[in-house]
Amino acid sequence: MSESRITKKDLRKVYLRHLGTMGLGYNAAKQENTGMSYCLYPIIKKVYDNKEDRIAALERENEYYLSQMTCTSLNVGIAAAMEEKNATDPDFDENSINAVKAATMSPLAAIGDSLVQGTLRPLFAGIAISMVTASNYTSVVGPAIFFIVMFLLSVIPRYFGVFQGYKQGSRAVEMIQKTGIMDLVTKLAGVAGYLLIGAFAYSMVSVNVPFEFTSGETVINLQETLNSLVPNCLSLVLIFICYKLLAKKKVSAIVLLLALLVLGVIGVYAGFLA
Amino acid sequence: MVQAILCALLVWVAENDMLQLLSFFSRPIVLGPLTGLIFGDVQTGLMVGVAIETMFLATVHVGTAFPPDATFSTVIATAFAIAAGSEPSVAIAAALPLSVIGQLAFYLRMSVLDQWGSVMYEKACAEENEKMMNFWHVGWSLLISLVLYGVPTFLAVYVSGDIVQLIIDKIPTTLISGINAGAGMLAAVGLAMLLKAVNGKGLWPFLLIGYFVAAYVGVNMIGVAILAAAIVAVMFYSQKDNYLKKNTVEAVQTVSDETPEFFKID
Repeated sequence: MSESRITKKDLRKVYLRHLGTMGLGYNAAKQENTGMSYCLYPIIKKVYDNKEDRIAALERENEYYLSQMTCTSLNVGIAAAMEEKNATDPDFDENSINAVKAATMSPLAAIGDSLVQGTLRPLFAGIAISMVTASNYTSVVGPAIFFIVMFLLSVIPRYFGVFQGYKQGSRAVEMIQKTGIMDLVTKLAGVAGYLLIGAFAYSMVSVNVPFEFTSGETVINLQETLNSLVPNCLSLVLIFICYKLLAKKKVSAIVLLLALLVLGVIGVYAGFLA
Repeated sequence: MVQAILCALLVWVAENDMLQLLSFFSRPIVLGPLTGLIFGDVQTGLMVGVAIETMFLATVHVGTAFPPDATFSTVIATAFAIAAGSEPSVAIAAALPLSVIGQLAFYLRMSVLDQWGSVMYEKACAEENEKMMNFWHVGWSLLISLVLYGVPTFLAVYVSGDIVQLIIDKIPTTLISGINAGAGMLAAVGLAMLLKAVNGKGLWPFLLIGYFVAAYVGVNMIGVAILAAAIVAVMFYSQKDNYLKKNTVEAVQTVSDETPEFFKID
C-alpha cells in the first residue's frame, strides 16, 4: 500500500479554495460543479501523473453538484480521498466517486439548510436584533457578535469537513446516516427553533389597535385589555394567519409583506391601527 | 460620490459572501450598520438593518429556490433612508421592490452569466489550462457580480440624494406612520416562514413555552437562547444513547460487509 501523496498542505489548499471560491461560478445547469472541481484540482494535480487522467478527473468532478455550503466541505474531503484511491488502485471503480456524491449531497443539504440557515442564523440574527433594539439603535455589539459567531460557524466546520471527510472517506457519511444521529440533531434543531420563534413572536411583532370604549366614567382601552390577558396576543394571531396563508394557501412571501404594509397604511388612515 | 463607490463595493463583496464565505455579514443586520458607517450615520443603518432583517428573517436559499435578495436591497435602502434624513420607513418601503430586483439579478447571474462562465471553465478543464480555469471559475464570477450589482448600486446611491428628497417632500406623515405600523407587522411573515421551514411536527408546545417565557416572565432573547440550549442539551443526552449505542457497532459492521472490496478506502 503506497504512502499517501496528499499532505496537510494540500488539504489546506483545498480548504482555502473551498472557503474562497466554492460557490463562485454557481450556474443553473450543474449548480456548484465548478467549485467542486476547482477545490479538488490541487489534489488531482498531485495524485495523477498523467495529463489525460487529470483531465478525466476534472471532467468527473464537474458533474452536477449541489449542497449546503458548509456541508459541501464534507463532500470535497471525501471526493479527495476517493480520487486518491482511484489514482493508486487500478481496480477502483471511478463511477463510485460520483455515486457517493450524488447519494450524499441531498441529505447533507437537508441537514445543513435546516441547521444553519433555518435555525442558527435566525437565532443569532434574532438575538442581534433584540440587542440592537434594546440599546435603542446605538449599539453595534449585536451585529458584531452575529458576524463573529456566523463566521466561526462557517470557517471551523468546513475545516473539519475537508480534513475529516478526507480521513474517513465515504465511511463518514455512512456512519452519520446509519446511526441516525442526524435525525436527532435535526429534531433538536427544530425544538430550539420553535422555542425561539415563540419568543420572537412576542418581541418582534407589534400590532396595536387604538380602540377605546367609553362607558360612563370608565374608558376601556382595547389594546391594554388584550395585553393584560395575553401580552401582545394579536401578534400571535397575525403569525398564525400568515402561516396558514403561506403553508396552506401558498401565498408568496413578497405578496404577504406588501399586503401587510398596505394594511398598515390603510389601518392608520382608517384609524383601526396605530 | 465616494460613498456611492463604497456602497457599490460593499454590495459586491456581500453578494459574493452570500455564495461563498457564508459568514453572513451580508445579512441586513450587519450590512445596515456597515452602510450607515459609510455615510457616518450608523444609527439609521441599525434601524434599517433591524427592520429589513425581521422581514427577511426566514429567507432561506434552499437548493434552487432563491429568496428575494436581502443584500442589495439593504444597502440601497439604507442609503435612501439616510438621504431622506434618517427616516427608516422609506427604507422599509423601498426594500421590498429592491429585493425582488435583486432576486431577478441573481437569476440572471446564475442562469446566463455564470452559466456561460461554467461552460468556458469546463472547456479550460478539458485542456487543463490552469490559468483559464482560474479565470473562468473565480475571475469571471467576480467580474460579473461587480458589474451586475455594483453598477446599479452606485447609480442608485449617487442619485439617491436628489430623488429621495423629492419623494419625501410629497409623502404625508400619516402615510409614514402607516408604513411604520405595517413594518411592525412584517416580522410576522418572517416568523411564519421560519415556522414553515422548520419541520415541527409535535413541537408546538415549545412555541408556547418560548412565548410564555418571553411574554409573561419577561426573559430577553439571550435568556431564551440559554433556555433553548439547556432544553435541547437535556433532550440530547437523554436520547443520544438510544441512537449511538444501538447503531454504531452495527453501522460500522454493515458498512464493512456491504461495501465491495474495491470501494473501501483503507
